Amino acid sequence: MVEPLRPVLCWAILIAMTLGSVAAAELLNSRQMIFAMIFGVAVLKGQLVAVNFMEVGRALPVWNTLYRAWIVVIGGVLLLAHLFW
Amino acid sequence: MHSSLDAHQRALDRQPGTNGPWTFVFIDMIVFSMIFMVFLSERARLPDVFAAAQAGLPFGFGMANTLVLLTSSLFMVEAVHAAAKAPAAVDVARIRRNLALCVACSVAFGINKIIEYSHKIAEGHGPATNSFYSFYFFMTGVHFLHVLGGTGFILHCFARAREQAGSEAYRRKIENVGLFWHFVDLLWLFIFPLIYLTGGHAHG
Repeated sequence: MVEPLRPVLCWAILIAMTLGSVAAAELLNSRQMIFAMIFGVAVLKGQLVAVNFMEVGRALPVWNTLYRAWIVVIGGVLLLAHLFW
Repeated sequence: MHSSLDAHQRALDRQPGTNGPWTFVFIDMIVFSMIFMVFLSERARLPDVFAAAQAGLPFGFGMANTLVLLTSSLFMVEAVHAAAKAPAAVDVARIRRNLALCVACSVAFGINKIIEYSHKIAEGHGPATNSFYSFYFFMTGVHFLHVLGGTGFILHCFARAREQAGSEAYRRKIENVGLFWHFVDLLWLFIFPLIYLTGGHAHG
């Protein structure tokens, strides 16, 4: 099980990732790179929120699995659709 | 048999909040998944319409709301942690202060959203303009309704803090509200890039 971070540290990382992904979306030239970066960052931020704010690690295993899987699956589907549709 | 029931009960006792809200939030996740799928399907059908509309969408409003929601989540976590203390050690003022800050963030989100909608409507872009704007107003509007609902729950916890803080029922209640509020935040983490950040890059 992943140990939760301190809330303020987690918040600072989330803010930095948000600002970083917006800046990178402006600076990168390749559309594939942009899509991979923004949806990849969204999945990582989602996992941080689920583990540290929702505390899914303390929930029943079924919720822990479903919530964390949803974040990965939805991010993956959004990325693949933007790359190949 | 008894030991497995005991283990399940211990797991339920350890879980933040109760099973009902965890189930509700998961069903809401499925609903939003379907909305995302229909959005992607329409985007594939009308790529030029979506690319042109998204390129004209200022991401500043979306980014500001992302920062506001993430900050509100921090205050919510602090309120939940404050409410989880033993009855003798519970700090009601800390709970109320963090919930008030959370509501302030929610109000900032709402004002930002109303200004954003006003700009779009003043530019002549309404829900009936084209398929992208239908989804833009529907998706962000349904999310905004979640923000309003969550704010109502937070205000309820704020109003009940003085009389109920320290009780097991209040701890469960604020954990349930926190779960919903973080889900509102989580949804926005996907709506933000989908609506605001992919614009202008659809055709390289």
